[in-house]
Amino acid sequence: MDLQIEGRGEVTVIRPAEGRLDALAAVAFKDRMKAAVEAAPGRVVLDLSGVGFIDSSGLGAVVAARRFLRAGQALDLAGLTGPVARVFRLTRMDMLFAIHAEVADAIGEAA
Amino acid sequence: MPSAKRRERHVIAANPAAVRGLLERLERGPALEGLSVDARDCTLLVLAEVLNNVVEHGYAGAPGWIGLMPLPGRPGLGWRIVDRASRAATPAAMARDMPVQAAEGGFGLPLIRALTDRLALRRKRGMNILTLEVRAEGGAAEAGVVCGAG
Repeated sequence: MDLQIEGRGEVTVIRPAEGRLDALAAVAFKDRMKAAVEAAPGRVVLDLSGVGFIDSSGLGAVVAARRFLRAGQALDLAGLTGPVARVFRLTRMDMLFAIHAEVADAIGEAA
Repeated sequence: MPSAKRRERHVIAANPAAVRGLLERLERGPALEGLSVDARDCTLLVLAEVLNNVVEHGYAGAPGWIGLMPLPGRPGLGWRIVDRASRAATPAAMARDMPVQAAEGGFGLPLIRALTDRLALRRKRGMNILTLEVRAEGGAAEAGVVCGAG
């Protein structure tokens, strides 16, 4: 599970390179998120617009990524597809994150 | 229409790569094609959680197999999952509630329960046999989630 990482000013946007965040991908995703979050200068936005499937292992890996944040650093989510949004809602883990419709909303850019 | 005898059945190795492969085949195959997009997505999620649960907690790293076959009567929504893992979910685990705080695990069985109408696990001749029916619609309505019957 590779991640595409893009700096946009003070915000770091991270995109999973695969469309499935599942039990097979979860461990590698978490490892790479740890490195990406630790290297990010400030707020991190996880762009999930390319993820069409997430299971509870993938969800757990996203939640786990919060542990890597430094004081004052935030992890927001953007671009949740229907199946991904459903899992966050059902588990109530949507309450843990600021969730934006698109990355542009998350970083305050005009779409 | 295929007859009951010709209904598709799948047997996979008990590992995450095989689970992913099966889910991708189901997504593209005929078993779910009569369902709405929401019902298909919910079914794929339920099956993912069930199969991964067998891999992670049933076989717990030991080699094994998992069988999956559709149940008659509820096309795409009713399924039977069979395995020979020495461990299966206990009634207490099956009844566990969704974690209420930030958690990195423990979502699988509550998700399955939230999205199914019927869920029954029995052990017979050394095999665990789970039968389930994905909720046709109104699944976890309190969370604003509707699977839809298609």
